[in-house]
Amino acid sequence: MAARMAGPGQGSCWVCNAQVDAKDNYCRSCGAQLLRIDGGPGIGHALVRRDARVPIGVFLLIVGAIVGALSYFMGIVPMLAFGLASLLIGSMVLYLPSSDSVLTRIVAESSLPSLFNIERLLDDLDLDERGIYIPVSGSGVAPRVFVPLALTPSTRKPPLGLNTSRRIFVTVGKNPEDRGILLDSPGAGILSSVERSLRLDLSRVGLTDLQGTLDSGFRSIGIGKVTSVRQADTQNEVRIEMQLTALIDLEAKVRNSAPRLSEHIGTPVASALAGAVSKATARYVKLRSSVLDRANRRISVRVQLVD
Amino acid sequence: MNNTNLFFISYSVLAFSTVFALSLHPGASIDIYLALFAIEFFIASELASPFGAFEYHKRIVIEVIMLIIFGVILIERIAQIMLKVAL
Repeated sequence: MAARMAGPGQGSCWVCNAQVDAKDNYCRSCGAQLLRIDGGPGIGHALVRRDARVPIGVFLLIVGAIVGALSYFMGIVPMLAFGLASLLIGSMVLYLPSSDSVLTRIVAESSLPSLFNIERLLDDLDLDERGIYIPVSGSGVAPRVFVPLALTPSTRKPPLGLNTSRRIFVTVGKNPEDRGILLDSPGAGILSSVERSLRLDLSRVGLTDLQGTLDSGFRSIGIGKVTSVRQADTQNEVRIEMQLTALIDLEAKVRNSAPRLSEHIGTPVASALAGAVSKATARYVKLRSSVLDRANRRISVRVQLVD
Repeated sequence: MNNTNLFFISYSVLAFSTVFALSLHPGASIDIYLALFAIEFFIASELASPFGAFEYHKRIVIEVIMLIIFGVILIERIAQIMLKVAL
């Protein structure tokens, strides 16, 4: 699973032989994951960064212990306090985990193949309609997404009971075109984690309180902060803006390698936000657009409340 | 900057500025420093929590230690005041 280097920073995919950009650790053509031989930001890099915290913690512990012990015997209270502060911070540096740990990266990478599978499913079935998030209630329960074959009166608002269905291919009406596929949303895991961390069911939170609630939830699971949730006056549209502190690489990869999924259903974060709006408003929701500003780590999502 | 780094920076700034500020006051004893370190921990972790959603255990361990430190100092101070009043 290595990218062969063809030039400065350039390489080729081991699966399809397509050109691979210097910054990518996956193939934009076939989606295969690549381990760069020339290093760069990856798991190894994260390990180095994680290890860098250990010497800092040990240094603070040693300094704190020496300064604290000497000042205690010499009776210098401010220096004793300085030593205790160093000791305290040093032990916390060693005890608390890094929020950008290796495990986080591995988990993010592990979710990619299932997202690429959905992309291929959408491609093969040639589904061009946007996914409809079916409202649901219950803490830790995320709305499922129905992607219709065609928009008909039956598929516009699929039955709420679909949330408990275990089928993928479902028929929601009497006509042959009243069919579609039913998927777990890509953001289901994120949304469930937000609710578990808040110990709250978002269906009990109104749209007016959604910004504060989502902000607390996304902050507590270390993904980012929700800076605004606005409902457009004239249209049934909700706009959400978020500042990401994690999952930026995952979001960019999914957007590049699974464009149909990103546009019709949403990337994991966009999908979690759409699911949250669906739960909070108890209405069917469609993703309108989702824009990632990678430089500023911002994501803007527009969702439509279906009448 | 992630939450963990933000927490360490804010807590270090608060703790070391406390040391500097109280060092200008010669009468301050070590328990005042420790009580303030405990309070500052709660302030810093509210500003930028270093704990993830599934780290309840670690969070509880540190918070209980800090509360015990603060509680012991508080009880000791109250006991001292009561003794002075009694005498």
